[in-house]
Formats: sequence, C-alpha cells, structure tokens
Amino acid sequence: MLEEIKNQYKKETIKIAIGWIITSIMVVLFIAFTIVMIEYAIPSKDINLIIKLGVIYFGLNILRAIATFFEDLNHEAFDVKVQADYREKIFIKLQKMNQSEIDKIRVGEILENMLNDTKEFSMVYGTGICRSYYGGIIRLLGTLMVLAYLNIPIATITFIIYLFGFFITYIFNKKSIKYTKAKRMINAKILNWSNEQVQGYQTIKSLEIEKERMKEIKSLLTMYEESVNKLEKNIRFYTCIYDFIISFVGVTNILLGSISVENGIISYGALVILSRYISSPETYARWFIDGFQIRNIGKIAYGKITNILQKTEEEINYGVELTKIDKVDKIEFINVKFGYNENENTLNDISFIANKDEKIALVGRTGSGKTSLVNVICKFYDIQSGQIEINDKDYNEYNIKSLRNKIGYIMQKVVIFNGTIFDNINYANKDISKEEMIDICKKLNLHDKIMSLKDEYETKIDEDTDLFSAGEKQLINFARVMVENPEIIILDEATASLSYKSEMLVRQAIEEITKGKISFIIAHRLSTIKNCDKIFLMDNGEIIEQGNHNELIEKQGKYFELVFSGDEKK
Amino acid sequence: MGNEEVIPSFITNLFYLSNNKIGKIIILSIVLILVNIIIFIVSYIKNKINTKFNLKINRNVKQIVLEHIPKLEYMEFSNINKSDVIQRVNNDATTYSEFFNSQINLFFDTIFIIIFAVAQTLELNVTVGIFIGIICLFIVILSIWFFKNSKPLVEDIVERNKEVIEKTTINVENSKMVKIYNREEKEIQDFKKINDEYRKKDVKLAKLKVWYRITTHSLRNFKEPFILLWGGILVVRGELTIASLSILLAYATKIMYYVYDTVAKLENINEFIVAYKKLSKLMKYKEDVEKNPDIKLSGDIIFKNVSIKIQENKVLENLNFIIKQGENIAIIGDNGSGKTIIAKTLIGFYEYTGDIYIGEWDIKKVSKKSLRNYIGVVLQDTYLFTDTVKNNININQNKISDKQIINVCKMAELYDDIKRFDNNINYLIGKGGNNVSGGQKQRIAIARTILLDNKFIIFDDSLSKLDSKTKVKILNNIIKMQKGTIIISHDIEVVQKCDKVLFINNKSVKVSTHEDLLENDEQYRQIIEINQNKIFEDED
Repeated sequence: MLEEIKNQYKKETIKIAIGWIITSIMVVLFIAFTIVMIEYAIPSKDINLIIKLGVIYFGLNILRAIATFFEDLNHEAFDVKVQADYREKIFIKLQKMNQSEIDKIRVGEILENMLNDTKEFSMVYGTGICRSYYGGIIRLLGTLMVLAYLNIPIATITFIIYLFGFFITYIFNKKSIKYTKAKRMINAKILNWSNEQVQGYQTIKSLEIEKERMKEIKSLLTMYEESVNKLEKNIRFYTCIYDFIISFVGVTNILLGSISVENGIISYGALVILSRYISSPETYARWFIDGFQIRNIGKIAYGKITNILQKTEEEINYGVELTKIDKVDKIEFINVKFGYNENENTLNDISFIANKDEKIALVGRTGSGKTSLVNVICKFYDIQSGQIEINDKDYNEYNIKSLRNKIGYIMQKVVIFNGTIFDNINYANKDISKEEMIDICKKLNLHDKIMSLKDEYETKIDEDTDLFSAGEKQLINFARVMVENPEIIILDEATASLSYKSEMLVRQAIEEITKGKISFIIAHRLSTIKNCDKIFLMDNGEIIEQGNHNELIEKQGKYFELVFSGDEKK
Repeated sequence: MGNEEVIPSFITNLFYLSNNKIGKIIILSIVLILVNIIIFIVSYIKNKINTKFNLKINRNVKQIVLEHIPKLEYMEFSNINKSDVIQRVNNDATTYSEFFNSQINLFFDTIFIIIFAVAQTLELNVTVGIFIGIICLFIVILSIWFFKNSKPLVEDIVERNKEVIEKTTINVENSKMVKIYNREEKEIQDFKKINDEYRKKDVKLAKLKVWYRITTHSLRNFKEPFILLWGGILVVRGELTIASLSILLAYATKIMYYVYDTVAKLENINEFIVAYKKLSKLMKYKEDVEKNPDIKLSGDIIFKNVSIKIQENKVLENLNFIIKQGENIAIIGDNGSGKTIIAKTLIGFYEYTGDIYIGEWDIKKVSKKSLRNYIGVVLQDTYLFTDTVKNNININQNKISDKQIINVCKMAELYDDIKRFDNNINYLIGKGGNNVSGGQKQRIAIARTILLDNKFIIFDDSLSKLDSKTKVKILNNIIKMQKGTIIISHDIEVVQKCDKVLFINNKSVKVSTHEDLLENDEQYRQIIEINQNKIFEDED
C-alpha cells in the first residue's frame, strides 16, 4: 500500500515528509529557546539581552508559523488529491468492468468505497505516517530530551505515567469496538424503518397500520438508547480514569520539582519550564498512537478499493471492426448453452436463424430465458458452449464496441438524466445535426411536443421531469435508438399502462424502427406478437415452439393454449 | 515570597501545619491528589448527567420527527422529496442534538475558566492580561471570518458530493444501457468534470482551514515570547517574581486553549443551523388531525355532484353515480384521466366538492379510519416491508394461524409460489421486494388486503402484472367472498366479470354495462381494443 502511494506521488510525499520534519525540529527549538530565556537571559539581569533574545524568539515563532503553514497546506492538498484521484479510478473501472461483475455490486457499497474508503485511505500517508512518525516521534523525543536535560527523574516518571495511560487506552479501545458495532446495527435498523416509512407511505396510510409502525420505532429507539448508554458508560469510565492517571504527572512535577529546587538540584526557572511543558508529550504521543489506528483503517479501506480496481475488464476494442457501412444480414445461434452461474442452465441448447428484415417475438413466462437470450446477443455475458454467428462468422471475432454500435436496445425503463432534451436523445453521443434530430423526432411524433416547450430542444430535463407523459418517455427511448441507426433492434415491450394515444404512437414507432433490420421483441401483447414474422415460445431456457402466429395456432400446442386461455368468445 | 494574596487563605493555613519545607511540599502534593480525586468523582457524575441529558434530547428529537411523518397529510407528503426526508430524520436530528449537547458542556466550563483565569491574570499583571485579551479578540475575529467564508464552500461541496452520488448510481443501475450505447468514454469525461470541480472546491476549503488553523495557532504561540520578554524585564526590575511568571504562562495557556476550543467547536454551528432549518421545515408540514368519529360503515357508495381538484387543476367534475354494496364495478379510462383519483378520494387522500355518501353517512363526517376499514385498497405501486411474507400479509399483526394465512394466499393465487419459496410463508422479503417478481408482489398485496376483511376492495391497476388466467381466477375467488369490488383495469376478461362499468372520459363519468358501451361509444371501444389480451406476466 505504501509503495503505491510513494510511487504515484513521489514529489508530494517527499514534500510532506520534509515539511513535517522541519516543523518538528522548529517546535523542539522553540521549546528549547524557553530554556534560553529562563535559565540564561533572565538570571543574567541584562535587559538588553532579554530584549534581543525576546525578539529572536518572536522571529522564531514567525518562521515556525510559515513552515507550519506550508507543511499543512501540502498535507491537506495531498489528502484531497488522493481522494479525487481514487474516486476517478473507481468510476473508470466501473465503466470498463464486465457486466457479470457489475451485477454483483450494490450501489450503497460502491458509494461507500468512492466516498468513505477513499477518505480513509487518503489519510494514511499524511496523518498516519508523517504526523505519526515525523511529527509525533520527533517532537515526543525532543520534548522528553528537553525535560530530561532539566531533570532526569521527573522526565522518567512522567514518561512511565504516560505509558501507563496509553496502556489503559489500548484496553479501552478493544472493549469499545463491541459496543460500537451494536450501536451501528441498531442505527441501520432505524434507517431502514425510516426508509420504509417514507416509501411505503401510501401503503401504511391506506392500510391503517400507523399505530403498529409507531410501536416498532419506539422499541427501536429504546434499544438504541440502551446501546448508546453502554457505549457512553464505557467512554465515561475510561475518560475519568485516564484523566486521573495523567493528573499524577502534574503532581509528580510539583512534588519532585519543588523538592529538587529546595535541595538545589534544579533552578526555580527550570521548574517553571517543566511545569509549562510537562503535558506536551501527551499530545505528541497521541499522534503516534493514533497513527496505528489510522493506518489500520486505511489498510482496510485500501483493501476494499483494490478489490474493485482489480476486477476484470471488458476487452471492447479487440477484433474485427464492423464499420458503419457493414450490414448485418444474418444472426445464427447453434446449440448455445448459457448460465449466469456455473450450474445454471438459463439457456439450454438454443438454435435458430434470424434474417434481415425479420421481426422475431420472444414470448414466455418469467424466467423462461427471453432476457438472457437478448443479454447474450449484446455480449454482456459469455456463453458456456455452442456458437453464435453473425454473417456466418463467429461473433467472438468481432470487436465488441463496433458490434454494440450495431445493436439498438429499447429497454422497458426509460432513464432520463440531467441535461437538455437534445443531449438525452443523443445518448449515443453521435455527431448528429439538429436537422437529423428533428427528422427523427418527426417520424416518432415527438417533434411537435418538443417545439411546444419554451426552450424546445434545449429544454433542461431530469429524472423527475413531468414534462413528458409515460408514453412520450417511451418515445424518447425510440428516438435514442434511431440516432444510433443500428442493424439489430432489441425491444423489451413496455407494459406500463399507456394512454390510447401513446399506445398508437408506440406501435407506429415500432413499425418505423424495425424497417429493414433484424428485430428481437420481448413481447407481451397479442397484437404485437401477431405482427411478427417469427415467434419463439420459450420455456425453461429452450425454444419449445417456433413459427409465425398462424402456424403455431394450427399446431394447437402450448402457444395455442396461452392465446386462448379464459376467452370463451373466441 | 511572591503574591500570596493570590492564594486563598485556607490553603496558606495548611502550610503552617508543617515547619519543614519538604513537609510543606508533601502536604501540598497530598492536597493536589485529593483535589484530583474530587475532580475524578465530579467529572464522572457530570458526564453521567450529560449522557442522560444528551440521550433524552436525541431521542426526543428523533421521536418527534419520526412520529410526525406518518401523520402528514397525503397532499403535503406527495410534494416532499423523499430521500431528503430520510436524510433529515437521521442525520439532521443527530446533528441537531449532538451540537446542542456539546455546546452546553463546554459553555459552563469555558465561562468559569475564562472569568477566573482572566481575573487572576489581570491581578498579576495588567499588561499581560491585555495582551492576552487582544490575542483572544483576534482569534474570535478570525473565527467569524472563517465561518462566514467556509459556509458557501461547505454547501457547494455538499452539492458536488450529491452529483458524484447521482452519477455513480445511475451508471451502476443502468450499466447495460451505457454499454450498449458505447457511452463509457463520455460518462468518464463527464465524471472527470464533476470530480475536478469537487476537488477544486475541496482544495479551496482546505486552504481556508489551513489559514485559520495556522494563524490562530501562531497567535497563541506568541504568548511565550511576549510573556518571557515582558515578564523577564519585570523580573529583572524586581516588579514580578518568577513564580508569578510561571503562573502567568500557565493561565495564558489555559485561556487560549479554552477560547480556541470553544470557537473550534462552533465550527459545527454551520451544520447545526442547516439541520435546524431543515427540521423546522419538515415539522411545519400539516398533520392530519382526525376530528371525526369512528363509525362502522355499511351501504351503497353514492356520488352526488362531486368535483375533484388537484393543485388547482380540475381533474374530475360532475360525478354522479351509485355503487351498490356488493357490486363489482370496473373503472375504465385513458391514462391520466383520473381513475386512481376516485379510488384515493374514497379513502380520504384527496379533497373534493359535492357529496359522497356511504349508506347514510357523509364521508366528510366520519373518520378516515372508518373509510379505510370499510374500503380496502390494493395500490398500483405495491410496497412490501423488509420482513417475512407472513408478516407482510398479516400486516395488522393480529393473532392469526398459519392456516388462515395460507387460505388467503390461495385466494390470491399465491400459494403455488409460496410453496416454492425457502421457508414458505416465513420467506424473508428483501429491501423493496427485490427478491420477488412484480406479479408475486401484487399477489402478496392482494392477500394482505383480503385478510383485512373489508366490505369493498379497490384494485387500483393492481392486477396489471398478472396474466389473464391468474387475473380471472383471483377475481372469481373474490366474487365468491361476496365483497363489493371496484376494479381499475383495462382487461376485457375483468370487465366482462363486472356488473357495471364506470367509463371516465373527458373529466366526467358514464355509467353503463360493458356491452352497452362497446356498442355505443367509439372511444371506449378503442381503449378496450388497445389493451386486449396481455398474455404474459412481466419480467422484473
């Protein structure tokens, strides 16, 4: 972990390390100068000397301030840089990862990685190492040496007392982990309850279960209170004991110091200095000790980040290019077997041929394999056995990026992102002119609606926009695909209730978009299915019936059953 | 020697207990240890009281906010940004109470110390006292400068943070879409822009913090040179003892420490103010206060000249119809025409003009609870809780046998699915129902409502994700139970099973039979035709 930081940020890490070392030396000098003033200048009774040395002392303080300023600035800027750099690395990785890896990721976790883990990792070098060693140890040793210079017994006893205090801290830290975990668990439950309360608001109100919900949260809050109580008790106990132990440092100083002064071992001035700086080692020792925890936490965070950065990427740029003018005339599946996991048979021995200008309806119950078939065409996942050929060539030989350029996928869900209407429709990010865009929107009957808005194509929209109805949003999806002008169309028929007008528009759009292409339509409506050239009835990962509507009806097989279920009239 | 007036007399008297100097020192040390023990005991008690106080405030704030949300009026709630609310409830409540607590703690300590220490310092040497006062003043001014300038930066950084979260979330959830459109490069570019902005603002804030920190730190460090220089001169002139010098140093350090600490803790004041503002806003939303009595309702549902407005737009008007108790009605209408609104008005979510009666009761005069007990609703967007199937169905947590639950599942055509789940009815449903299909969710919601045994059940497009076979089966089961049903759907199988059809067209309602409307109304025909025969259940 450290090598990586040092290698990537050679200049910065050296600057920070030097900064800490210099400022630490200055701090020790600063303390030492107090001895000069008290043990040397004042007893000399020479006012001019006092003034001269005093002014140098001021100057030293200013120099120290300047040095600390630069050190701190470098340190903070470095932390920020590391965070930003790794955030970017993670995001880039997300874009390049295999789909099967992305499936395993939960959004909440990845956000934690991007925001929290990067923060904890960024603190490792500056705070975890430099402040801990170059800051903590140098200043600690320096201060102890100054104290020892004045009086060794006092310095030693002080040192031992601090050691004892830190031992107590170590024991306490171990105990508090247990309580902190319990507290976090209950907090997560409360958060979940709040989530449910907000998202299930209508349900809760319409079912009149508010009372039961309140009971639940009250008991959760009580449990939270109890666990916090336990944690606080622990902290309270520790703090008081620790303070009590450390207070003996002061007592030792006064007791031994006064006796030493009485017996002429040290000067009165030395006692003054001792009193002033006897508690300084504590801060610096803390820096050193905290360093362990910061490095540990940072290591765990680093592990999580590396875990993500090491996942396999998709090779989308290798292989034969399908250029803009290349057409896709034929797609063939030969004995294709596929599963998301090793043991699954999501697609079991699928074989078919799809030709240009054919509309193929994929029908079947949930889990029959329709979406998986489509996923495999898009090369989101690799098949286990069998072959897929495009234009009679193994599709593994093609460059994935250019292959996907040839595929247009209209999904059920419409994702609108923050941007103008133009940008949203030009999701494929092509060099498309306004005229071409208008042409497409006219074909889909979107143009008039867009022109009726104040900023027309430049209107800003976002996820929650209510400028477009559900049906119109579907049309935006169609427009996106038309901008891409692909050879293969995949349509996952939206089943959300559309108004009559929208239904008609969407039907027209389907007609428009599938002209001259190979289309796979995951269909739910009979009217759509009837209109297709081939129907693949899927069940359990296999195509159990193939043919057009009339052929399959004549067969009087499973398809026939499904179409005529519960319909007495027909 | 030294300024003995500084020391309270009862302590000086202690010193006359022993004649020997070392003896005096030992007595002093024993006194110190005793004082430390007292401090230990007092701290412990103080902390204990603090924690109790803290927890009470924290809990009260959380409880007040959490209790407030379910009571909010439907219309108020619909306008709130949901994720915002959740954030407020958890983070803001905690921020608010924690700030409060830490301030009370520090406040008393600081006031006391400062007054005492400042008094002592001035008594020892006025010049030094004034010098310290000036430094403290500078620190306070610097702090105000820092808070003012950091506030907009902090707010800005919160926005950048949100942007990063949104961008990442969208990309992970829609990765297939990004891949199929080959949009990876563009997304990376966009992210770099956002990330760079974030970094720049972070650096700016860091610079501000460093200036603040180092300047105040250095100011505090000036006390050594000043006190030793000025004090040293006074010592040489015999106007001050070294002991007093030592005390001056000690007090000066203490005062600086407390001033700095208080001011630094006030760093959180920005966050506290923001939290307070947001919480206040949330608490201001109107609550649903129930003034009407609970009545056991029965009878027909009667609409008389009813008009419903939503946010100043008239959605439906001149509604006049009767739904007899036990009747099965289909509500048909184009999307956005207002079908759901009628249903939601019946359970008290929307306001209306005109009269709606259930039996002889004007529903404006009965409690919402009565309405919801009489009429059960299976909403369009089913929501399931992170709990077992059993607890989701037995939502009222009544004492109920597993057999009764299974009965209800059978009626909702859910039993076959349940048999296939791990643990049957004790199958744990994941967050937001992510481990059950859309159709299964709907059927669980139906089972849930059936168990509540209302006299009327409204199905608000809640059969939409089911295939026709299943829809018809469920309806048959319900009709056997002889409950009245109001079904919002387009399915011809469903409509054919109903006694009447309420056709919403152009903000008004036509009531007739399905056959009649099919023959005489063109638009009705179109809508039915479009929605014919969904054969296959949805993927989810």
